[in-house]
Amino acid sequence: MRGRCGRQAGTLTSGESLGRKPGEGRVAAARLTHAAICVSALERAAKFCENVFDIKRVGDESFGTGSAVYMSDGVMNLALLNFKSDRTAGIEDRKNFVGTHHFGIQVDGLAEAQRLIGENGGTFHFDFGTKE
Amino acid sequence: MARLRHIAIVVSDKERAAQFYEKVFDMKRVGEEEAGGGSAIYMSDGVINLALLNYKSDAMAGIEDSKNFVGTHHFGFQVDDLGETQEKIEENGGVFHFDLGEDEEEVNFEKKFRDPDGIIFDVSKSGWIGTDGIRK
Repeated sequence: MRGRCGRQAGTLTSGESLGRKPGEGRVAAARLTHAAICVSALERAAKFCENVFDIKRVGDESFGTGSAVYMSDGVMNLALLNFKSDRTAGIEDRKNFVGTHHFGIQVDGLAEAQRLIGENGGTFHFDFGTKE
Repeated sequence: MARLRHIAIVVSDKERAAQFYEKVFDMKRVGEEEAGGGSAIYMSDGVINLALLNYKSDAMAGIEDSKNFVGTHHFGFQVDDLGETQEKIEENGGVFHFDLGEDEEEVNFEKKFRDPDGIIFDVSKSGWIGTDGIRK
């Protein structure tokens, strides 16, 4: 899941200074910037992260199929999630699921990334949000 | 502030997964490891370590029926002080799970915990191979 506003707030483009020379046909400067966990209580989980790790609450959001609180260490966005639908969660019995759910990679070209994902055996799941 | 620098996923075929992240996202293969409880290939974007894992035991995986599990498994924070962090974790409802590794100063050493929901995460002092803050 992508936080439409919250994810942006605490995320730096940490991979841009790597000076890498991406290989041909690969997504240039892809950066792991997002991890998402499903929790039973958003507020309790946010306080745990604040109290233990001193990471910052940078946004929250409610949407039709769930809600999120976004935390950040200044580089990585950690999304704390409650899903309201199995389809959005992408798992059966999501009501009883807590755990690490997915991760996200920031890319410069979404279409190029999707093409490469498909060519290498990945499949499209769904878009979250209205604007790329 | 703790630094979130490690994401671990369980895959059915580590080599195939490594090639996927190399070919699609240009991530670098920065290490691999075989241990009694499982094996890993470590990938990196230069900042974050992505561990591709195979577990050989439910106890090590911390889940039942680990043989049939693939998915995002846990994440890890690099911290300055493991003892102080453990105190804070336990004061806030987290529970110690186990240590992976013998030397707390070593790279990739992990002290594993469960948060109040039971979600597995780990903390490391020296960090994970391939990350920006690794202490060599």
